[in-house]
Amino acid sequence: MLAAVMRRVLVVAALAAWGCAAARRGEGLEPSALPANVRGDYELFASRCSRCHSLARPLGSNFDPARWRVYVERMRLQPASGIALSDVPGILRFLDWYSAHRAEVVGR
Amino acid sequence: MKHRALVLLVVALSVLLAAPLRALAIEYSLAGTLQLDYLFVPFSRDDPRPSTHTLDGFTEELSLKVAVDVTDHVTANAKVCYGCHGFEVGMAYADVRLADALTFRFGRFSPSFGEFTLRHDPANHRLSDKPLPYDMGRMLRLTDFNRSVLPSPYVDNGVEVLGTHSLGRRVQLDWAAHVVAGMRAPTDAPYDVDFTLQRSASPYYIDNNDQPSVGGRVGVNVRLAERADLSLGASVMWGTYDTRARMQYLVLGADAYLRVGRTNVRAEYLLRRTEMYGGDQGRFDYALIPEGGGAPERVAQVRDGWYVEVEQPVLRNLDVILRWDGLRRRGNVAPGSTLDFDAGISRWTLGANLVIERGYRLKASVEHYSYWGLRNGVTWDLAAHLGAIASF
Repeated sequence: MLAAVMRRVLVVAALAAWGCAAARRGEGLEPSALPANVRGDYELFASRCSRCHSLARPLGSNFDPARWRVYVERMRLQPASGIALSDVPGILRFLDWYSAHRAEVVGR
Repeated sequence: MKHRALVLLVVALSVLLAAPLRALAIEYSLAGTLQLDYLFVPFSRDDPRPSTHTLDGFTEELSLKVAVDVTDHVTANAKVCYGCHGFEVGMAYADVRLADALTFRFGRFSPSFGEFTLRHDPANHRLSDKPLPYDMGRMLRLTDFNRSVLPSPYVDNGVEVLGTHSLGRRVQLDWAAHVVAGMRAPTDAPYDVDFTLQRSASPYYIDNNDQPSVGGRVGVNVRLAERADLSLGASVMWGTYDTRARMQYLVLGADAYLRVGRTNVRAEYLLRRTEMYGGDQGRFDYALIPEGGGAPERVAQVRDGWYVEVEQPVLRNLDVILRWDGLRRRGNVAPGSTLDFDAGISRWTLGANLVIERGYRLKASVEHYSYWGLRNGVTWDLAAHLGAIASF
């Protein structure tokens, strides 16, 4: 039985090592790759919008700016969201920029 | 009189038809999650096979959610889940947002309770198994303990009022109060909530008694610094769960969340006091304290659970998670029960989340269970999970 357990542990460890080596990026964006005037808004977005779900959700959504306004408002009013009204302008500034530059950003 | 009424009706219709009709721009969004998880539990020739006490091997969970923004203030949500027990309705509700402080939610939804409720989707929490207070079916020995304190997701029919209010730039309050059908058991002489009946469409997705259950949550979020937040919350839920609405349950919860930079620390404590039908000493293993010369009508069991969890990114695509959680049941038991009067679990979990590509992750974890109060003499178990997640 111990041999069977060890075999399974080695398979898992090998998969993990392969994953670390093969993966090119996390689910967020690399702040240093963003324009300087966007980085602060991105950090705000990444901090507020990863509490309840991963950043893959908003970054994978192909919404236009008008849609983001409705969506961020809906997220802000979810119980225990942690998103303050004062956070909204910065979050929307980043999402507006992301909507316009998504194709080039996703390719990085 | 009739002539005047007819004139008024014609005028009213004319006004309505003449008014410009605003085109409704209805927006749809579709999202989903797919998780495939493999649970391995070592066993020996002397141990019973894991399948006698847990859902080991492959399990899959698929969820599809549609959100419809009818207007800026009205949203409808529907979610279908497919998992260990087939198709379930995860949500089917509408939100009407009148103001920050006032949103009405009605339909079928998960009532606000605690902090984990918002993250019950497999894509939204980092480990394969939920914290023990909220465990639904991945915990070991789930049948012995009849699941947990509040298996998540707890989905019910009803209405909820919720809102939020900012106190300056650093403090935000939020609240929610709900009235829902409540937990269920198929009898007027229950031992505990029947969680299979709770989520099953058979016989019906309706209340088993005429008494709705009530509850709510209040929370405060404090912005400690630019990238540091602290949230505290308290939750309550009360109702009756037997067919004659006599046996009460009370669920209390406290939650805390601290974020410093990219490190997340979460902790919750839940307690559920559930009345069981007494009636006859033969229903219980331990002696009942007589009331009025006979067996008491109600006997209470108390189960509580807790977890403390730390998530720490170590690489850009790798998070490490350490969790300590537990579950405890204290109370009289039915004859033949596998539990003593005081029985429980303490579990340590070490896990990792590896991002393969945005939206695609691997989850791996190892769990060590310590038990007390199991009459079969089992004192510990090991388990390992390996899962793949896709969110879209």
